[in-house]
Amino acid sequence: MIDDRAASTAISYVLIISLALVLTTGLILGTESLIQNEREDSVRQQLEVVGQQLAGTVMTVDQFNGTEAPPEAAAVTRQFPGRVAGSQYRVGVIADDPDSGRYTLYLDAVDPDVNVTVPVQQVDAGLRPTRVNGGPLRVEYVDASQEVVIRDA
Amino acid sequence: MAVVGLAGRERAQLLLAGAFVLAVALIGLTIVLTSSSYTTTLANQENGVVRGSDAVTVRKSLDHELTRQFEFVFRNYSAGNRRTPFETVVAQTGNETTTHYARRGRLVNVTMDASGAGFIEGARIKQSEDLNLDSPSNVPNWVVAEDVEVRNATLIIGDISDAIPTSSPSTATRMFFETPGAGGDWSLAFMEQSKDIDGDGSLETVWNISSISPSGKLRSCVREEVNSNYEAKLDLDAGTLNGDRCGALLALSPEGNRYDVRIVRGARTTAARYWLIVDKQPGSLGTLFAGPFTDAEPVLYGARVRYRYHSATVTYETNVDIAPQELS
Repeated sequence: MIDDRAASTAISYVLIISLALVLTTGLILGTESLIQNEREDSVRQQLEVVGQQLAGTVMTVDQFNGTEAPPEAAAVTRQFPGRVAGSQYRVGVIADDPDSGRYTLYLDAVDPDVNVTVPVQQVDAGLRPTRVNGGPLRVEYVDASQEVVIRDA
Repeated sequence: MAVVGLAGRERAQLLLAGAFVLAVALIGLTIVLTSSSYTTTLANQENGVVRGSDAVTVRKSLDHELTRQFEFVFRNYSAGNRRTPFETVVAQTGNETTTHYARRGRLVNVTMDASGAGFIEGARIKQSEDLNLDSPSNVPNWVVAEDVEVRNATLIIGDISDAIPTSSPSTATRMFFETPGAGGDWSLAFMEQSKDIDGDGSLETVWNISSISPSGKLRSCVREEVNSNYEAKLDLDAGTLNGDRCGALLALSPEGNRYDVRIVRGARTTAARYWLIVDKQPGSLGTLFAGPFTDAEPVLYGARVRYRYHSATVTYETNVDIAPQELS
């Protein structure tokens, strides 16, 4: 009987260990997947917010040029976050149709690989195609080239 | 007992490892949720002051207010006495604006050059009696003003000659807006034509005003014949004919561009009054017209003020031209 009990204890021990391992592994994998999905959503949402706010600022600076005399100083500095949900990102400008003032801002995060685009409609000035790191940005009007330029602040 | 003690330690280690992994997972989840919450915070931080649109709103508000004040000064003070009242208004507005926004942590100001260089002197060219559109010395092809920006160009046509054919642009009175030193000329033609308007086979005389674009595109408005019973008021700024929108006039944009204003075959419009305000003083309107220029008087065409807006995020400095639209 003593041998039987000893064998039963060992089997129970192995079973418990195995079950605990399976449960823990499942929990880790499930949680990791959940966190990854949530993180991607967070990154996308934050990029969309940053993109919309940057587009609004770009179009506002375009309105700075709405006077007969060109502005001597026209710039807005925005304190955008350097990381979105822990991920670095970059901001770029694509000229879709400069003649009709249509441009696209694109923001892409490094990890996870998430991209967001925001359309911009310019009225008075062009928007210089550029690519800068996310973070504090300075949007200014350059009269020499009659363009709105996005720079690192 | 020794076996049980060993199993207990290993189970405890396993539980500890599991708890550690779970804790890390929970911390990660917290970071994500916090980040999501931060997105909402980030979105709520946006407002007009941060974005910079407040600077544009204040500029437009000051522009509107000073334009209103300029119109008041223009109407209530004589030609030589308009500068000082307007400078006073600008100074008062600038002080009040600065005080108002200083309490909100922003530097907003509007000032004017103390030397008076901010004023734009112009001329009002006017024919106040019903005469033909030739020059004051009856020159049929004459330049009213050279290289000017035109504001408030208004003509009141009272009669078109019946004795001379005026049924096509080549025979009618023409008013040209010529781009100095280049092509791109616009013109207006004042014609009388016979048309079967009712479709009953009978021809009626109608008045046709046409504009011809630099590319030759012809746009027309047809109205009843102008004569002693019916006169036509053309507002070139508003693009209207007797208050109604006219496609021929809407295409024109005399303000905002520089033109030589020329009138050809003015005698074929036998009764007309007109006035226009241009951004040059009477003495420098041009040399191509013949004869004395008796109906041009100096006016204050506009004023240039300096607008500054500085906040923690916005730097904006520009000159704003105060130029009322409808002064006659």
